[in-house]
Amino acid sequence: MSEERKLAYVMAFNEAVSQAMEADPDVFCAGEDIGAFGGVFGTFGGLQAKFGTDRVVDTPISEQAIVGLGVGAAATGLRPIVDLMFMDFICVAMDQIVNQAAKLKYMFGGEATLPLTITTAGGGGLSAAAQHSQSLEAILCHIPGLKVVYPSTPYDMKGLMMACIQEDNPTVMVKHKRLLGMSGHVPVEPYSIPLGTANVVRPGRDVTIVAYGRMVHESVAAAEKLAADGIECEIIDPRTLQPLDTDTIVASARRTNRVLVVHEAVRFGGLGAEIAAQIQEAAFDHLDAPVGRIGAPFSPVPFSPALEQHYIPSSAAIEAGVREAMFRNKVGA
Amino acid sequence: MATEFLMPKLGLTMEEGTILEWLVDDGATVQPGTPVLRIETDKVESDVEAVASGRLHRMADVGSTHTCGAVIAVLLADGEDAPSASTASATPAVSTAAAATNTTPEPAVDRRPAASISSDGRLLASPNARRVAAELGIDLDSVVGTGPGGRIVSEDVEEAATRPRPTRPSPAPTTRRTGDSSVLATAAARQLADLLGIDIAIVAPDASDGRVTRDGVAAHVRQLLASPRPAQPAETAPLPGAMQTPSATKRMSGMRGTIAKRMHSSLQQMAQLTLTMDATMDAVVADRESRKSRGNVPGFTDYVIAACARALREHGIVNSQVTDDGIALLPEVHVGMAVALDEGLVVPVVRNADRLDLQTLATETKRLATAARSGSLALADLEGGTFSVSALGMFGVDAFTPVINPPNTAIMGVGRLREDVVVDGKKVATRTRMTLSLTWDHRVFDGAPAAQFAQTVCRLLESPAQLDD
Repeated sequence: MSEERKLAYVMAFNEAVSQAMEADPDVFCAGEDIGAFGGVFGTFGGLQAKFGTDRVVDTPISEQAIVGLGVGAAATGLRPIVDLMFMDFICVAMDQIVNQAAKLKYMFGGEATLPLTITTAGGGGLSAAAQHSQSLEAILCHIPGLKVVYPSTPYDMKGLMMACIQEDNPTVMVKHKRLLGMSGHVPVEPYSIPLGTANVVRPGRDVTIVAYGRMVHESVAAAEKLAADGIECEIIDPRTLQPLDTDTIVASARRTNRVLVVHEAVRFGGLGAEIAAQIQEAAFDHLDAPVGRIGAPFSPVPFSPALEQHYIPSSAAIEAGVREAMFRNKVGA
Repeated sequence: MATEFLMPKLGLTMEEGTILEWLVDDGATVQPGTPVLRIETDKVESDVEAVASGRLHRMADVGSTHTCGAVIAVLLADGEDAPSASTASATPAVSTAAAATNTTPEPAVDRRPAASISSDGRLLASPNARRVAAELGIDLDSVVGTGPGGRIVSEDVEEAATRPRPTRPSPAPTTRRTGDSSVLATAAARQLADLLGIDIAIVAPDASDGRVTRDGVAAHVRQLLASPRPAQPAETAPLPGAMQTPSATKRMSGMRGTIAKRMHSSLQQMAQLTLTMDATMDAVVADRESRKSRGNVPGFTDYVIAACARALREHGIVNSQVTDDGIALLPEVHVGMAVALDEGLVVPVVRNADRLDLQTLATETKRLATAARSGSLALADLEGGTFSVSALGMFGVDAFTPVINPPNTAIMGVGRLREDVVVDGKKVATRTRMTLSLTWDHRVFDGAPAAQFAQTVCRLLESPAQLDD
């Protein structure tokens, strides 16, 4: 068995695509520079050499056209994977994503299936400036008809990418740029993780932290620090943002009575607001503190590395958020 | 630091007090124990002492009425200025800087630190704390909040559950608080209920999740408005002005106001009716004669109190109280005796009157009457009566219709002692007799048991030796 095999996050993605293409001749890839160049982050490296130019297609620089190609191919029987280099660029393809991909099954009375996977790279931390660093997942989660996944580990990446390709509805797979090089255990054989199932990254009794993407790791760092003070954090990674595994989150909230939601996206209107709302709806009588939210300030992502470091939520900010949720006066004070 | 001087709570039923007189000049320095003012409650007048020292800054006028816990003055430390008027709001008790000479020993009811109460009077407790409190049967009022802003969190409730419960006086089942925290309810529902003064405990919970919702409160209120109501006393409607220029006007507050309110509501809320029955008092007269050599002779009313107390033991239904849950039969017999005063009347209570021999009972009624006339009754002397006796015989009255003292269900009126000519068999004889007037609440029991109770009282008065058992 391959218990001990380690693989980078980016290669876990690559392996999922490769194995899916081997298994199903209808699976193909299209995107900017994914062919000979292997993708700007090497995500599609080696795939064109292996599967040929018909199945790993370099496209013009037109996100609208790339997603449109995917929508048409999916509607007519293929299982396309289309890549948008940066998550920021989904805005260019919004008509195809929101009005076409997400709606066709509904518009055709269920007769159309859209087994389309859109892959993209989100998040900041590379000093890539305001137009190449955004976390726009909340916009996608707001659209009925789309499924949105955001893996935080190489293991989840391979399993979730496999599930996306096998899914008969449009999915958006968000890779975090700063996790691409992260190494972790990934089985060689193909496997998939069901969409809509959260992962309890770390069990704990005192406070629940809901975090996804790179924020999972910042939360783990904060939790380790807090554990030294006797505060046990339960960390839940939803992994799939749409559909959201509310049951797991709520069950945890009912147990710990305090919740902090963490994301790299801007706090206002972020997914944290939705998660907090769902928690108070389902576990109001189990809360000892308002559901806390840690997110980026209401500002574009700064280019300056120093400012960007300040902008993106850190383990220190999460730690402070947990302490606030856990705050109690000294008895008798 | 300035210490707030609060309107004290002198007894369970005290809700407000009226300032009769400031005994200390504004700006004068007081020490702990200095009597600072005299207040009037619905039952007694009382001097209130300072428990802290400082310069007195009065914040309320003579004649004004304040709820218990309202700030009526502050004690300023050296060099401190008086607070501006805007801060002089009646906030809930922070530190009880006022102690009353007449305070009856009772567990502190309001021991909640002010920190857990928001500025609008809401108890700050997390939803989880409320849930856990309901599950563990903990009264949030007794929990100290340690969360942000003094919010009670579930850990506080769990800690409180491990401590011995404060022995709260058990309120009559009819008095449930508006903000009953043992009821699962949404925050919005609580707020609305508080605003409208609705007891949230009587609002039907939402069928889907068991909590009382805002809609539920609204539906409850709509139902109340829609249902036909008994004619309300026109309490709010202004009365016509005096038809002549009055020679004097007495405020209907304090004792007069209480009597007015209680007697009016007594007649409105109960189905009262009165029967009269003559008791033969020859044996009592003889018994009194035989005691004259032994000093303190019980009065005729004392005999009636003793007879009623023992009869109440035999007729449990008369020693009762109407509650939301039904007619509560009360195991202990405490008989109130009406004592007329110049400004009204008070009804001090002979506790466990059924277990006192006549001599002890007479000593106690004498003490209570003396204390009542000198205004030195303690609140404990006034509380807990389960039945009352009211005598008008000394004014030549035979029979009258006494009004029940709520929440009792009956009262006995004592008439004058008189010599009657009676036909005993074929012979004409004289008897010393007295008319007893029993008023009872027909909701609780009917004429036959009422008459049987009166018969028992008469029978006991005919053989007073039984009153010493």
